[in-house]
Amino acid sequence: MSVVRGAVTRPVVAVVVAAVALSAAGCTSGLSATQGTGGYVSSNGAITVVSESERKPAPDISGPTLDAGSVSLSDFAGTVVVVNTWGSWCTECRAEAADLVEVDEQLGDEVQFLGLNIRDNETAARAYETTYGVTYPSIFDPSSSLLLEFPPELAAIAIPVTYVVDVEGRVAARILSTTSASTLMGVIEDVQGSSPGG
Amino acid sequence: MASTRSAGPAPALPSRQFLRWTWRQLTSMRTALLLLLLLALAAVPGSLIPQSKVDPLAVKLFADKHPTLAPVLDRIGGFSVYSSPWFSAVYLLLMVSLVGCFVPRIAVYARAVRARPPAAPRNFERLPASASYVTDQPVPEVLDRAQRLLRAQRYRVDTDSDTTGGAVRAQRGYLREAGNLLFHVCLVVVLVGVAVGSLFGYKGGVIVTEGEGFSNTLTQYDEFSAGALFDSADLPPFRLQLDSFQADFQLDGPQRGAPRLFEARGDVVSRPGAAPVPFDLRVNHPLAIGGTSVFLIGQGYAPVITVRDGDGNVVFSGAVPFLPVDSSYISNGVVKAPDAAPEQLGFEGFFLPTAVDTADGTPVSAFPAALRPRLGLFAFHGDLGLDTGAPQSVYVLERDGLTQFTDANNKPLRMLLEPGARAQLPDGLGSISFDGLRQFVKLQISASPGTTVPLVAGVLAIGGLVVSLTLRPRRAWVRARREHGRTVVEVARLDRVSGTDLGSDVQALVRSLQDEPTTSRSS
Amino acid sequence: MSTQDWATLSNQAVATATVIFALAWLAHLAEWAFGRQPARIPQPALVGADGAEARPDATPSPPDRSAVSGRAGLSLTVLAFGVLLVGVVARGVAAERVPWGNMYEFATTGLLVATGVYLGLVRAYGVQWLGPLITGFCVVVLGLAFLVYVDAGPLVPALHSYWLVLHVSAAAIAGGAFAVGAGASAVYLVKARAEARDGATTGYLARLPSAAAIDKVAYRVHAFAFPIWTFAALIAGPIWAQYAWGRYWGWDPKEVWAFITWVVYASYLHARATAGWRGRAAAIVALVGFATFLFNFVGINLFGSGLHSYAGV
Repeated sequence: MSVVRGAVTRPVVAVVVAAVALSAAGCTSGLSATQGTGGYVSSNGAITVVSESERKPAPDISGPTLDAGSVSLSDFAGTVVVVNTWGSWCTECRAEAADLVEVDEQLGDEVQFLGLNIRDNETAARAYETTYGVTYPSIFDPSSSLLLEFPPELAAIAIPVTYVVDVEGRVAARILSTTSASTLMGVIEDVQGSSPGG
Repeated sequence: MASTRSAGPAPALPSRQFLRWTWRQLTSMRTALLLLLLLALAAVPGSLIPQSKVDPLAVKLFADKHPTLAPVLDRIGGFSVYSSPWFSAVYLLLMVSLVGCFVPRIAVYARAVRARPPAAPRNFERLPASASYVTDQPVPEVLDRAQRLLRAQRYRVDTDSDTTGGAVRAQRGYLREAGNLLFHVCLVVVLVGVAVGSLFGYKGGVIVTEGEGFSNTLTQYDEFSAGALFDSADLPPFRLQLDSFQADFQLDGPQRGAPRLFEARGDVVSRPGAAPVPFDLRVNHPLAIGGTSVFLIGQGYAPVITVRDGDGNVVFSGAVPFLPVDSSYISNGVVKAPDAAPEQLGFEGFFLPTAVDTADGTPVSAFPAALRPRLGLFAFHGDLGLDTGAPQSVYVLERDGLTQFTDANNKPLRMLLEPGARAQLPDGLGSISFDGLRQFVKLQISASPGTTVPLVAGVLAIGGLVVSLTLRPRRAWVRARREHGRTVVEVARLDRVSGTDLGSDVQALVRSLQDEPTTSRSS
Repeated sequence: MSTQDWATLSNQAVATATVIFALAWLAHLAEWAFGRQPARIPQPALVGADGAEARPDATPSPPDRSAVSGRAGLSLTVLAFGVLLVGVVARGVAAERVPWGNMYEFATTGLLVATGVYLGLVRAYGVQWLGPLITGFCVVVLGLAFLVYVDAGPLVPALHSYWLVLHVSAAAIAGGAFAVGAGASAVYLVKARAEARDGATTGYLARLPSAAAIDKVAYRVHAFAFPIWTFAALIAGPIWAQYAWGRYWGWDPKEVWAFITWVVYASYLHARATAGWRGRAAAIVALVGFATFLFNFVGINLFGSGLHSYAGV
């Protein structure tokens, strides 16, 4: 009796393990590019706010701006900085452009906006800024090299991605989707609220 | 469980017996055979219908051509056959059948491999091949000779003797079942290893134009897919800069136009702050950076285009990859200027590396190298549809909100530009110029961890397969007894696997037994 | 000799080999036609023939025309093999690489293997009865190969790898052997049906060995070819794919059909060990397997798209 049972359970266990491995392999991660869009990886929308104790310093990204100057993140030390990655070809970025400009104007000097223009050409990017009335500076970084410097656990896994850097220069939040004015305001307030002296 | 013959239908088996019966059926050879044939059949549709993992563009074209069929196919997994539930069900069942079959056989074999050769059947004539002869040699001598002969043929030999005579029993080919089991076990190891490895692997594609760079972040990829346990933090943070790309094509001779060399050169920085290292990337010679490999899998042309809008501003200026359609490198591409004023502008057209003037204006490229480049474009104005937030492919122009420019004859306006030329758009809505030409490469960046185990298992599997197909398990018996003052010797052989010529082998053994040069008194 | 001379030599040799194969095939057809008369079973006790060629005198029976044709066919096949060998080797010299880089070359190399396997089996197991099928197959395929002829020249960059030698040669060897196995399975089906119906005592069929003997030959050939195909399609192919395309298996149409071919031949081996499938059913499975191999070679290359179809054939 036990021989028979043993002969049956052993293969069953083996098969269950194999079947689990196989089915899990069939699932793809949520990072897969949306099929059929062609040309870039869309985001799946997630907002991460990092608690005080776990914030890592933001990289001191710097580079040429679209208006032939140069800027770096350290220029804005002591202010909350919103770093927004965008491209003139990116529909989701265009959808949020007006909201970003609105929040920028509303919050004035409290918060500094810094754009990061990727996979674009300068003239198209400048034309985008004209269309939406963008006044904050954007770094021209067609190969996304500056994004490599962000902490891996908060990697830029899609476009658009918006980072919020707190007054102490640490990465406090990441928004992985087209954001709206209200959402962005809410996240900024969260970050300001939890920063000391904010 | 006593079975009774009755006039009615057979009584249903109780559930445990039914499960045992089901299990026996599932692990039987016939089921394995049927599942194998079913697996072969199930794999066929995936080669005839475009698959989204193999060629997403072809899937889109198929869906455009068959608007009613495509959604039905999509729902039943027709565009991703090999990850569909029904295909998985077939191979999972096959694996269950396989594992359920070989696990008990391992136990059986573990006993059988140590067993001594079985005793001879009483009546040799019942065996498929047997012979007998009479000799004057004494029984012990015959048995001794048989033992030596069979040992020399690599049999495992035992001898029994008693007062009337004796018998030699021999068996060989024990390793055949070992090879068989090894092959099937390794098959399972390969499949599980591949599945586990793919959980951590990823694969992404990107087009990089000469003069541009690529950083290994997800924002830079054109397409990307990964296993379920992949974490974006696993992407090694390298950046490569493509300085130049060289594509040589055969200029003359029988294979004129065939590609000869594709070589991409540039620098790679393995992580921010590291020193740049030059690279030389060619087909079949990938670039390895920290566990990830970069493969050169395609190339094409990227005309440098400048668009000016109706207000006179430059709204677009850069290299636009045009994707090649066939081996003549006639390529299609799209330019979008969503920030042109007063109206957004869009362009769609073809690029010919070596344009040929044809009578009806059909675009033809005579040679894949850029010997006489021409850019042919159709122009549109209106709403490109980029502002709604819905994702749009950078290689496709959504024409719903656009109006096509027409020429003086009310035909679609077609501009044919040579390098350096600029064409004005009607109604003062802007202009487009073809400034220069660059090339792009299509790179695939992927990591396939855990390939060692499947590879080793695969090689071992072949070894096991060869052993199981070439070794032939056999038994042989030689029996001798004294009869009327002479020795009667009987010889028999049994093959466990068909496909051999037993009769002549038995004769050969008889001859060897008889022919050995000793002081024999044989007649 | 310049490469152009070698290329010309190769073309002429392949064309000549085609003609010789055609002659060999005609000889085998004659063998079949003459053999339709009852078999002349040599039995010393009988004087005179049994059947249509009855002769009144006691002289030795006239030369068996069928056997003579058969021997002629075999000799011509040996000659054709030699000439085809020259053609394949000359092609390699002309192109300065191994001669299996495109469909035309794969066909000629594969046929060379098939003929070689056939001749080797003739020596070892006396399988002359495969003659008509093998020569006929060679004539047809060589004729079709001219449709996909390309001049000898260097390879596209995607094929610049020493895996070309391993992967494609193993596939060609396995394919040639599969062709011989398919021939044996086909003959087996014919003979087995004849045996079941009326014992196969008359005509050409009587000259064939027993169905069981034919089945053994078929099994041996498939047992030789299957591990090689496993290596070619499931080991060497994926390793090369990993270097060239960054993934070792992508369900590309050619990979799919190579997999299907492998599964069907695995089914053949299982069928031979399953009660009720041993004889004719297994032979049919083997023929289905060869059909999938041919579809893989011809259909996918010419009509499919995917990573395996390089700008042309």
